[in-house]
Amino acid sequence: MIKLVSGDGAEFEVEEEVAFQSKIIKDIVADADDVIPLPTVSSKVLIQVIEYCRKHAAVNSFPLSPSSSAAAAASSSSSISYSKPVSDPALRAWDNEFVKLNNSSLFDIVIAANYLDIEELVDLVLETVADRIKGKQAQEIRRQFNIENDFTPEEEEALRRENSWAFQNN
Amino acid sequence: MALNFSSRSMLPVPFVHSDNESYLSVFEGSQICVYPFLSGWEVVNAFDCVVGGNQSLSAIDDVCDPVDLLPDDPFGMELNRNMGAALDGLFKASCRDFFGWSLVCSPETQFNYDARAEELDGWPIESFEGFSVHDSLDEESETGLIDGESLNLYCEDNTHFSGGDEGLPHDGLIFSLRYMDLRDLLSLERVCRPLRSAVRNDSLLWRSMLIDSPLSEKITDDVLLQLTRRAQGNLQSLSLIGCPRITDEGLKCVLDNNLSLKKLHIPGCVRLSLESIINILKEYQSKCSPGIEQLKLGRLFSRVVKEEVLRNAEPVTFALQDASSVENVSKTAGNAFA
Repeated sequence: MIKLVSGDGAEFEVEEEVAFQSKIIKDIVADADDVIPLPTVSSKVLIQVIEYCRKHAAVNSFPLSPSSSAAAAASSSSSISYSKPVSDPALRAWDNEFVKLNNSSLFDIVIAANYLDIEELVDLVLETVADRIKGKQAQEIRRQFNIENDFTPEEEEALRRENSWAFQNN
Repeated sequence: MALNFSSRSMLPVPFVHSDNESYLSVFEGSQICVYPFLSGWEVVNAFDCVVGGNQSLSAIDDVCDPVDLLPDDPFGMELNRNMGAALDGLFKASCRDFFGWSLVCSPETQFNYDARAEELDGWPIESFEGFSVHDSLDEESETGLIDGESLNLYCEDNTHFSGGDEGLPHDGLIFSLRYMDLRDLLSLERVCRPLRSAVRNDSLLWRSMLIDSPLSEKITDDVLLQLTRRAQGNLQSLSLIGCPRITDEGLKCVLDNNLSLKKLHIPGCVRLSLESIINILKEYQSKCSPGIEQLKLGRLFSRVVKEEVLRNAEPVTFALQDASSVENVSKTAGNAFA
């Protein structure tokens, strides 16, 4: 078992194969400790991330022995790794349920997943964010993501003119 | 349009690192939240040292005990109780010193630091692709400017993982740009300045371009050329799916300005003529190597090509023979013609 400690001090004991969904944790464990402090991850987010990892660990089978994981880490740092789409339809459906969260929760998760280097989770969340933006106009995106328009009217006009080819209806 | 999916993890953060100094300082320099974690590690180590030191001191004190003669707390400072806080302060100070020192001493770091300071717009030219930590074993990353390797995630306003407060886009939103198609990118660059910079200045987003419906009917030669310029010469793959306004001249211009193009798909671009395509490609292949490695022309040309081949095989075969370094072209083209 590996103990993960969130930024607010909550401790979570998880199985190796769950924790090793994170490449970072895999590297740390190969190197040192079984208690892993994650001060930038809140317990709320960590619970969600562990939930995801638990589900995916159960579906994916992962090489677990420290020696092979070290070798895998060594090779993956130099070679190109492709993110593979989740093929299992049941897992896909589960993923789709998992990301039914508000934007700020999704962003929190993606920051944590990034930090922990859980590639599939990063892909999943970012694709979800991209889907939420798809087909929207600038103003809608601002409202949806609470972003302030900091362009001067001149800049806005220049942008409008430049991109008008794509947005005008003809 | 599909964007280049960098094959690397979005934020490769090699945790175990051979070069501790640069690792720590890189994070310090970029003000990323990993810092407390790392400093936590350092604190643990430093703590051991200091505690060890105290123990040895107290051992000496036991032997020669003039200290014992003194009152426990002559000035009422409650040292025992404040010791923790004092130690805390010491660790913080020493961590800062440590970071400061490594910033000065590590050449890699300095490079990084300077490079960052020189980026006037606040956005790196290459990408915000990831925090990379410079791996001393990896030559590519030492240059700090290779795809996906450069540690360059920061906005104009220096907010990191800002959580999107104060009306700024969340970093998560910026990460997701690579998952957007062309139309959404064009919308996003109109949202706010940080997003405009993120979209325009990350050449990786533009390295592979797919233009399909509904933009394919609208895109013109000029717009195409402008968009491909965003790849800053790194355009590798261009797919124009049914773009009726793109002309031979426009395609030639794009190829002239993007000499690293390897894949060209132009099915259904009705304004293009086969003869011009062959001429353009011949010229292109002579200018750069490896040149176009994959070419798809689509069905529109197949009939024309067949007739061309039947009437006079020379133009096609000449082009293909000429392109000796591009066997794939002949194969793909052959398939398209069949």
